Amino acid sequence: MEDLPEEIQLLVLCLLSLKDAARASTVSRNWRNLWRRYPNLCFDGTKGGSADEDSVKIEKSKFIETVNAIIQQHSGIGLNKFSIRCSLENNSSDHIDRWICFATASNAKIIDLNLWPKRTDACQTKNVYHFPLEALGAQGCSFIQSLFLTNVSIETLSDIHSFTKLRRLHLHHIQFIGDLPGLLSNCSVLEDLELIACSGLADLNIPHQLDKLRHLLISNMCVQMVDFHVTGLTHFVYKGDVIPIVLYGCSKLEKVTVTLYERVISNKGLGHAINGIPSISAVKELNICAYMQGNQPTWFSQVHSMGRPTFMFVNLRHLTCEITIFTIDPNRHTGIFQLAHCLDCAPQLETMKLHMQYHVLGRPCWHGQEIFPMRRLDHLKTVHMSGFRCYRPQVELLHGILENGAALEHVTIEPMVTLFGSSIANRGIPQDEICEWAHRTSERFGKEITVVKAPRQRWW
Amino acid sequence: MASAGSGDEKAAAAAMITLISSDNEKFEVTEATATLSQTIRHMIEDGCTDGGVPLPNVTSKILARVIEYCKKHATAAAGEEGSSSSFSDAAFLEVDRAFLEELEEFDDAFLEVDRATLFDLILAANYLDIKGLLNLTCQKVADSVKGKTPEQIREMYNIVNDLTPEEEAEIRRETQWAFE
Repeated sequence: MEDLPEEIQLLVLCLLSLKDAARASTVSRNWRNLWRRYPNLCFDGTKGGSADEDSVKIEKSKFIETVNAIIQQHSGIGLNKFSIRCSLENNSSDHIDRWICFATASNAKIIDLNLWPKRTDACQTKNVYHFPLEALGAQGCSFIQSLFLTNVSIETLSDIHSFTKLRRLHLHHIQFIGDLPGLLSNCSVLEDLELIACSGLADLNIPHQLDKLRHLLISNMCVQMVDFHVTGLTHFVYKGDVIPIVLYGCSKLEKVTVTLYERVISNKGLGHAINGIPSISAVKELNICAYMQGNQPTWFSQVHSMGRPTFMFVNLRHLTCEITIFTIDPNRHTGIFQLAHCLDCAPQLETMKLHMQYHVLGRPCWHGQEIFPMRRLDHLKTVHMSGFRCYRPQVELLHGILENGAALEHVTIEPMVTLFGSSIANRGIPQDEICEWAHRTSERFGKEITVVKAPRQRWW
Repeated sequence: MASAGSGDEKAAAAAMITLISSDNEKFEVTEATATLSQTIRHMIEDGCTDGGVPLPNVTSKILARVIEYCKKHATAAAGEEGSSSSFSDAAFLEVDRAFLEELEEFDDAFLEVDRATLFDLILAANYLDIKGLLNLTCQKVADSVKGKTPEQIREMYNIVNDLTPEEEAEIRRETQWAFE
């Protein structure tokens, strides 16, 4: 071992976990020196659970002491990643300052500071640690490639020039002082941006081009609008209120996931996801999660009051919808017909998965024969609907699909509600009646419908 | 195809590379196999592989094993080059799962060697700059150290403890957290 070149000895050490490497550092002077160049210093001071693959669990009472000791031993050479995951007291900021100083002085490529690892906490800590962004530029050169911050405050200064190599930026539960455009104005190679539950921002209006951005996630941000110039975007995730979302020039979208909350459920969520974000029209795979409520007047006026789509999903191949509906009369709630409009404007659609959950029990199956009017679905091969209880809109929508889907290969209905938190909804399913309906409908349209029965083996 | 003219024969011949081990044994390999080694790739790019590539640091015994590895992995690399986008889900689907499993089995079997051979493979992988092989072999060494006491590591690799008792005591104190 000692005859191997030093760079190989170092490589072997790098392949060990932090703990194993530290133990090995006591073997000889040579190993001690190698240890001083261990590349990934990742410390996890959270209780319970297991540490991430590359981090070491440290008891909270010894956390600061241990991190300080290891940093003191480290030469600062070859530091790749520096990560802290621990909810530290307010009076620890001097220590954290010193750690950040060490990481930046060592030109760490990845810095991950998560001071709020207990995700179950309902509210943010009042006096959060202030992360010194300016420290990242203190060397006069940019080195940071990935910056992940959770539960800290940051002050964005427009003259920060240290982000020219930054490719990944995750800001979770951040208190902003200053604005986001200022922070992003120098991030010309940014590929991955996540913004979760940050405060201090009124809107997300980024005027300059982020050409390299491929992955954009915006979740639980209380903002009025989202407005980005992202020509290379492939993945977009939005979770939050119904607000105007504009993404300029994204023609390469692969996958979009939209989850819409409404403080007062107004049934606009699904329509907004389908019809309200023209920027995502190039997407190939669309996932929608929305909520609906059933205090609407009459059946037909609702169907006809739905606006026609203003754009086409020209490339859409796969559509998945998770829809939760609060209504006392599911046979009169027409909300899911909005999906028919979505199908009308997605000529290339191949797969549709529709997961429904009605917050009501024991309503009768619908035995009407009406077919919801739709356009031809020339490419639709696979349809799967869960939470299918033969309610009127479900029946008519599926009739419409069977009538117009010339290429249909697999049609599956599942009476079980598969959405999260639905154990009550799965009691007393009229399974025989649904099977019988499926059988009759199969014969009527000449297309087989498979019924996924409520599996008893679920409990095995 | 078999009745190809001289032009095609030349192209086929150009795609073969001769590697010469330290004990002067010659190995004919395809360019795709040889270029798993960055060192050889650069030599090909510089056009200095005519008359064979002498590898004075690698014995025929080790070179044969290295080539065995490269042959197996060259096919895998060819598959990967097709997918340029790391974010593309479709690329993952295209990868043949069964082949990956087979590759893993091959790697496991490949590492069934004595320690001296393992170190020779590491040195060869380092010299030839074959990243996959270097990682694979170094991981094997790292795995052998995992969870061992310093005494066990010293014994396993004949490492002399050159720390003074005082130094060792201090280091042990500083590193106490890793032994808990």
